[in-house]
Amino acid sequence: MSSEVRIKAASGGGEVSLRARTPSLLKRLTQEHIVLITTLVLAGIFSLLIPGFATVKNALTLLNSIAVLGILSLGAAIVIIGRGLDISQVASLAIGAALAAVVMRSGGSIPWAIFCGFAVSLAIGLVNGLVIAFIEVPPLFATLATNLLMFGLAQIFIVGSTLLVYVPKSAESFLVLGHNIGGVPIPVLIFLALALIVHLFLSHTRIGRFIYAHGDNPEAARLSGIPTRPLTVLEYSLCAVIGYLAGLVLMATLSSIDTEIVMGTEIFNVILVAVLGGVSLVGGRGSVLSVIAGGLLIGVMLDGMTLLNLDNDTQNIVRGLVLLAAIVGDNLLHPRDEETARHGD
Amino acid sequence: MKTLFGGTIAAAAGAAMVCLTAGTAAAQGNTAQQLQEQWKKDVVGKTIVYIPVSYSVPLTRIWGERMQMIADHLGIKFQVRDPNFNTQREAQLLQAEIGQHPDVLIVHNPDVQVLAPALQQAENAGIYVIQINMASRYKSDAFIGVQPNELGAQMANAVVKACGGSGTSHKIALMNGEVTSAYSLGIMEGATSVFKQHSDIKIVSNQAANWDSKTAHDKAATVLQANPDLCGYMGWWSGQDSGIAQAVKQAGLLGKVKVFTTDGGEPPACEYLKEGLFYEDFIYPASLQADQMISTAVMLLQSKMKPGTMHVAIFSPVIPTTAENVTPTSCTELSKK
Repeated sequence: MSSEVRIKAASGGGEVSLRARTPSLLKRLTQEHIVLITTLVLAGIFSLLIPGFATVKNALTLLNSIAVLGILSLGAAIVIIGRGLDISQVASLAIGAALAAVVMRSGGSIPWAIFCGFAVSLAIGLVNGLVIAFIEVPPLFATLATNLLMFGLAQIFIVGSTLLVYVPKSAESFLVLGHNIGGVPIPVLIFLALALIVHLFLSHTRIGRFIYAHGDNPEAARLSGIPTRPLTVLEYSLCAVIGYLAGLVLMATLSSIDTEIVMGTEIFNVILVAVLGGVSLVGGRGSVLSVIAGGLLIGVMLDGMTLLNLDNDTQNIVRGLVLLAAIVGDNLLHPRDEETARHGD
Repeated sequence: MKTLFGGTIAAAAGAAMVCLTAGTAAAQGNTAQQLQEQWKKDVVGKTIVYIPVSYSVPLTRIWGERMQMIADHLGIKFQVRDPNFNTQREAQLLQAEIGQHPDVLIVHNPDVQVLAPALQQAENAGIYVIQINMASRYKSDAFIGVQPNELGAQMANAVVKACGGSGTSHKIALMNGEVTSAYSLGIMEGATSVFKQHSDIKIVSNQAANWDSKTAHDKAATVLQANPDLCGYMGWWSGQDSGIAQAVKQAGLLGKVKVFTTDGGEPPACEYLKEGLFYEDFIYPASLQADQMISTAVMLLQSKMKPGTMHVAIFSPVIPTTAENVTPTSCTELSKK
């Protein structure tokens, strides 16, 4: 602000507009644009290096590999936009899916099995939402606790002795979810359909706008009459149920579900995809495009580096460098100032 | 007279025989009794503590459930400590157990380094230490498990046999687990030594999935898409490699790409063999290993040797299993609890 004033004072108006326009063009690039550009550059490099990279088939394989992560991140984005965080989302995925598999194994019908899994995932979301909205426990602690609690309960009452539950052969019609339609993997179609639904929900419905308002400034949202507590419960419930959908897709793809995933680091990848694409952890910012951008970047890196047959250490270095470049690029274009630093306080 | 003499001799001999038999029986009874007493004194009521890397995977469950069953019958106290894949927690549990002073510790190392000092400390404190499947750099009283390099070589030879002949692309891919574990390093070493001798075999991909079936699935899908003429895929744990098998199925390459894997005879693997999802599974029977573990513990308890003085190895047999020779007993069913 001050430098602009100084320029105005020192010279004519024409020069100011010239100077101001150049950075504004760059500044108009949002984080998702930067991530998408990074992804395109990377895809270009891989296309030159790897003969079979730039093919429709490979693109579909790539999308298939990020479908589950992408679906999870759509759910996580809803909560993060509403200034929350759900560490227990993977528990909804694994426990819901494991219960569905257990019901299928014990001879239950597929719709009933899917409903049972849905109910337990919704319950996890409701517990999270209620604890955070009404008892006002910080989301990080609340969901960390429910994650452990639900995992323990599921081990005792649902899964049993081992963490791995296999879908029975009799549930072949469920496993179709992991197959292709006309060469396009069904998980990719589910991801894209869900992305469209979540996009319409967030940007074209009143509740969607409320979620942005809630994340941007919860106090202002509450004072303006938005029922923020029920809204919080809704956000966490949606996150859990979307997590469960990801679980069904994952289970159909692998024909099994490994509940060990709950104790793993998958949730950090989920949050990374959302945040990388521009869903701000302080709430109120980001969109479905952010999730798609973040997911594509992760997918292109995974696919390209597998095809290049890079070893694990090199893959980690490349992944770290690309992520760092995307974040540094964003920081250079959108330096933290008084407004962004305080944003979300 | 002659008859009388003969009869006397016969009677005497008969009596002597009876006495001898009775004496032997008495001596035998005595030995059996002694052994029973020794058993009661040295084995019954003793405590074995089992610390696997996690008690939630089929392999460690099979070991634990089988040992528990045998120990219950023998009157041995058997306890399980579950660090749930947390290496630091496993080290803490081990330290705590040294304080509790059980008679035997059966330990499953997460790597070669981290538990080694504590294992030595346990033996110094007078506890027998048996290491299973994954050895540490410390040589304790006993090691029971597979020889990873031998297993790797055995698997690689099978891959070469299937993909080295005419009419195949000679292309194979490898799916490593956790690259730094002693088990993975050993398998890679054994497999590499075989592949080096067969220059016609082309390794188109060598990636790691960190034992995760989803990662294995995604990487395999990418590799298969780029190499649809792949002949074989070799991984080293069926739980992870089920992801490869699903990727092969989804790519419509079932029967064309042969998936080679290995495990302790864990339940789903046999189903996968029957369905043709796995081509060959190198099974080291976990229930047999469990029997060996408990037998070794009982033997150590009766040996009366100071812990740390004996170093025995019992390597597990590896049974190459295909759809042709898989039987209902190839895999061990787990309890439903």
